[in-house]
Amino acid sequence: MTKAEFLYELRKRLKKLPAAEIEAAMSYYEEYFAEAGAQSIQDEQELIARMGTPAQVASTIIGEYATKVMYEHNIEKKNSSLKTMWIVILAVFASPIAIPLALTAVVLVFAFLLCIFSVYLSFFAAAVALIVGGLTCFFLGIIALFAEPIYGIVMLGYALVCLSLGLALFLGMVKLTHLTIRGITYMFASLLKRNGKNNASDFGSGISNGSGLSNGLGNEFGANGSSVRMEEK
Amino acid sequence: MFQLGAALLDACVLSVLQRGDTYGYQLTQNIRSVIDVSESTLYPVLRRLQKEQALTTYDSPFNGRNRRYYRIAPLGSSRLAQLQGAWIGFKAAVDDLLSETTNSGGGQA
Repeated sequence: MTKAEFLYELRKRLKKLPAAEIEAAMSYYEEYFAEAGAQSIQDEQELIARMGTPAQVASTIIGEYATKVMYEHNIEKKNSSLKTMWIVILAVFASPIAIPLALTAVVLVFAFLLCIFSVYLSFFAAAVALIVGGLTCFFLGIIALFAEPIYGIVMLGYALVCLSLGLALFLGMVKLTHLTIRGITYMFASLLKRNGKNNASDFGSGISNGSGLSNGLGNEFGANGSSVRMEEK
Repeated sequence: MFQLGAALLDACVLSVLQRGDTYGYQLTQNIRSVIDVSESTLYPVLRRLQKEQALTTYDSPFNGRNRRYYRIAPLGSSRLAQLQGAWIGFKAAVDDLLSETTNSGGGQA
C-alpha cells in the first residue's frame, strides 16, 4: 500500500466524524508520513507496515472520539444524544474484534446443534416406529397362530426382527445422544476455561480494580478510562 | 506483554512535553525509543489532551512542510504531577506483590 492509498482509505473510514475531527486526524497523519518520508523512502514503507491497516487506525480514532463525545455530552448537556448513540455504535462495529463476529459465532453454533439434534430425533422416531410395528405384528402373529399356523409363525418371526432392530436403534441413539451432549459440554467447558486464563494473564492497563491493590490510587491506573475502546489483543 | 493504559499514555506524553515542545513524529519516536507503543495509539491521546486543554498546539513550517508543535498547558502540568504521584504508589504496590511471589517460592500457597 502506498502512502497516498493509506491516507485515502483512512479518510474514507473517518467520513462519519465531524469535519473538524477528520481534518485534525488527517493533518496529523499527513504530517507524520511526511516526516517519515523525509528520512527515507524505506522509512516511509516501514512505517506503513508498522501502522496497521487504515481500518485499525480509523477505529482507534473513532473509539477515542466516542468517549470524548460522551464526556462533552455530560459536561455541556448538548442535545445530541442521537448522534452520540450513532458514534458509539459506529465505534463498536468499527472495532477489529467486532462484537458482531461473536454474535454470528453464537448463532452458528446454535444452528449447528439444532441440526444435529433434529437428525437424532428422526432416528428416534424410526426406532419407535420399528418397535410399535414389531409389537403389532407380534400380537397379530399370535392371533394368526390359531387360524393359520405357518402365517402366524412368519408374522412372529417378522415381529421379532422388527422389535430387535427397533430396540437396538433406540438404545444406540440414547447412547449417542448421551455422548454428544457430554462432548459438547466438555468443549464449552474447555473453551471457557481457556478464555478465563487469557483474561488473568493479560495485565491490560494495569491490575484490575477488583483486586484492591492500588490503595485508592486505582482510579488512575486500574481502569482503562475509555469504555468504548476495543483494541486487538 | 504489558500494555500502557490511558492514564499511563497521558503521563508519558505530558512528561515528554514537559521537557520541551515537540511535534507528533518526534514525540512518538521519543516514547518508542524507551517503550514499544503503536504509532497509531498516540494520536487519539494527543487529540484528547488537547480537548481537555492539557496542551496547546501551534504550527511551525520546516523545509516546506508544516510541523504542528504541542506545548504543555498549566492544566497539563498539574495533571502530570498528579499522575506521577499516583504512579509511584502504583509501582510500589506492584513491586510489592511481585516480589512476594518469588520469595515464597514453593511454600504454602
